[in-house]
Amino acid sequence: MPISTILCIDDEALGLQIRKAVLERAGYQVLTAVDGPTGLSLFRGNPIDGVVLDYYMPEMDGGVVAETMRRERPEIPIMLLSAYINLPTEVVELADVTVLKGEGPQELLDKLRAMLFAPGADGRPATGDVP
Amino acid sequence: MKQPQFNRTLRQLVMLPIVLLVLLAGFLVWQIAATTSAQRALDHSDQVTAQLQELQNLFIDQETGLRGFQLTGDPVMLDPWKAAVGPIQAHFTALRGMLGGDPDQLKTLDDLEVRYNQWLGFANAVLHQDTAALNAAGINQRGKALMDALRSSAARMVLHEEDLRAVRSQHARWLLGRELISLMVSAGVVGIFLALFTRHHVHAISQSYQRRIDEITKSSGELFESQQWFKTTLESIGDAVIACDHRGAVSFMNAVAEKLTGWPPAEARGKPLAKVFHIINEQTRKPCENPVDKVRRLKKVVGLANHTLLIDRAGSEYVIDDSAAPIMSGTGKMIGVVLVFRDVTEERRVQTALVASEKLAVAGRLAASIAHEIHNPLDSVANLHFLLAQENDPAKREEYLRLAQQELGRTMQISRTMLSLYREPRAPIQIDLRELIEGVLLLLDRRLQHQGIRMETKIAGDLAVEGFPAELRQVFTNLIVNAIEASGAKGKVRITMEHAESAEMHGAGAAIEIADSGPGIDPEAAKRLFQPFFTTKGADGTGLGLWVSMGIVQKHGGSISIVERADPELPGACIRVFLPARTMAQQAGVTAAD
Repeated sequence: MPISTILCIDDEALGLQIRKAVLERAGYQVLTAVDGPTGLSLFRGNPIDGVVLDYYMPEMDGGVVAETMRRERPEIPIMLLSAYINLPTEVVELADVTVLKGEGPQELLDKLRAMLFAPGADGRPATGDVP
Repeated sequence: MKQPQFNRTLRQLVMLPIVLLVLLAGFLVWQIAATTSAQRALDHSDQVTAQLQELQNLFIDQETGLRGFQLTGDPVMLDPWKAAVGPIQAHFTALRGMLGGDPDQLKTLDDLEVRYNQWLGFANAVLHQDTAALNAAGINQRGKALMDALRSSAARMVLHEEDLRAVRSQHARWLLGRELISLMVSAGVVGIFLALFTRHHVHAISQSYQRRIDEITKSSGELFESQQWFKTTLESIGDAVIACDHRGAVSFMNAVAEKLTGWPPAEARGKPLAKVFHIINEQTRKPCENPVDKVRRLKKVVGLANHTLLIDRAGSEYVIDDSAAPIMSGTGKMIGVVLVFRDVTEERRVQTALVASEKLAVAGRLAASIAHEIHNPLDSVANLHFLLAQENDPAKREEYLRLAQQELGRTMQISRTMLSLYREPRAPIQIDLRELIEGVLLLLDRRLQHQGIRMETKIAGDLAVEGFPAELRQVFTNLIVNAIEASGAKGKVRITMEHAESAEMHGAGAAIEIADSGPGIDPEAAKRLFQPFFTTKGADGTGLGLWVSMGIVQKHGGSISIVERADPELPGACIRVFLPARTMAQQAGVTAAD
């Protein structure tokens, strides 16, 4: 199984570094960005298998980032990670999975794995057509 | 008929008859004078005739004396002759004076005198003759002829005078007749004229009087109608109304006032207002100043102080809102006071509930932001714990533990800030405004960053006010969040705080201005900005934030308003808050903008 590359975007620099360590320990290759525009340029210039995206960020929020990614490469699965409970519905619908910050690293890893290797995932959204 | 016209008519009614009667009297005097003059002429004729008669008698006396002497030769017989000499001369003189205006009679008188003198000459000649010759026939013939001539002249004069008298008597009678007719005609004319004149004027006055009575009847009817109109209106309105006379005794009260005070109008009438309208301060429970006394003192409309409680006759209490106004007469004299008030107990309850619900909404929003703030470091701590469990390298473990400690510290700091936000003192305390506003900005920091707001603060140090920190923090959070939302992404907000000198309306304190680069507030919205349920944020706003903020600021004895500041960098709204250094707020708790 090839090593999956995950793009992590969060404006909390410290939290981002710790999350990167957790994902790396789980065997993923991790790219990080502290704001939306940086994240999008990494997204465009690298082979990415999945995105872990914070919603509440200055200047460009997770909703805008997810929308752009979906428009450019709709096959890449996106996990929306947020401390907010009341996320706008249209943003939740853009993401494959929504995870609440504070649910714990195990939950994060389980859901990430499920998202990446779900039936019909592999290049397509989990909610996409099942052969 | 106007008053001057009325006076003129009255003057005419008095003066004209007087003038006419004076004229009539003058005319009659003239008439009487003419008649009297005619009567005098008649008397004159009689006197002339009498003189002539006496003169003739004297002639007879002299002739008789002369004849007696002729017959007897006795000189005694001449006594009558001698006695008549003087009177005859006197009568001639008198007649000459009386007949001055009649040349014919004077001529005859001259003739008479000449003839008398001729006779007298004859008589003297006889007296000096011898006694023998006294009775000679010739002598007597001559004497008789002379005397006849004399008598004829006198008779002619008498006849002439009698003719004259007849003419004069006729004239006098004619004058008397004319006088009577004139009297009757002029009296009749004046009488008829006066009757007509008086009738005309009295008629005019009477008509005018009738018109005036009609007008008064009509206007008193209208007055009654309008009185009924106002009375019914006052009776029907939803507010309580009590009217007092200038001494402060109740003269009118409507049904609502009866319900609130518990006094039937019939019983309340004439009683002093303070007895019927018993009000106390809600907090101190001390009696409030009688609004009638206040109006009489200030002579203008006064509103009641806030927190006024009305205690009715049975002892029930109502929170009321009222105003009192003087009733002025046309001449500017105060003739009474009218008091309008209403029961706001229910309104006050609703206000309290609204303030509480806004507080809940604020708490809800705060809870969400706390959750967000705390979840980030908690997530990191959970991740670090996961890493620690699998890490054997002591250096890395050390690093993870340090990071976990750092994130836990951050969590605790957030929770401490939140706690201090809700730990409210019972009495106002000294607040460092710079610290308070910086604390608010710290809480909003994430949001400011998220929207890329440039926050500029010009805060003078060491500005302290008395008050309740949590409430003031709520005010500034509201105002700054509004400014952030109005500015939009990459906007600019400036907070200025400076010392405010004491002015007419307030003491010294702090003035805080919050200006944004948003679109500004249109004048229509500005008017309603501080009213409850008014919002420009659609479904996202409760419309209570600014209303509650105003209530809090007013409770602190301050003011809040929108001001115009021509700054091209900050074209949006600018809200100015003034807070006095010494607060009037007594206790913590909800207060709405009244």
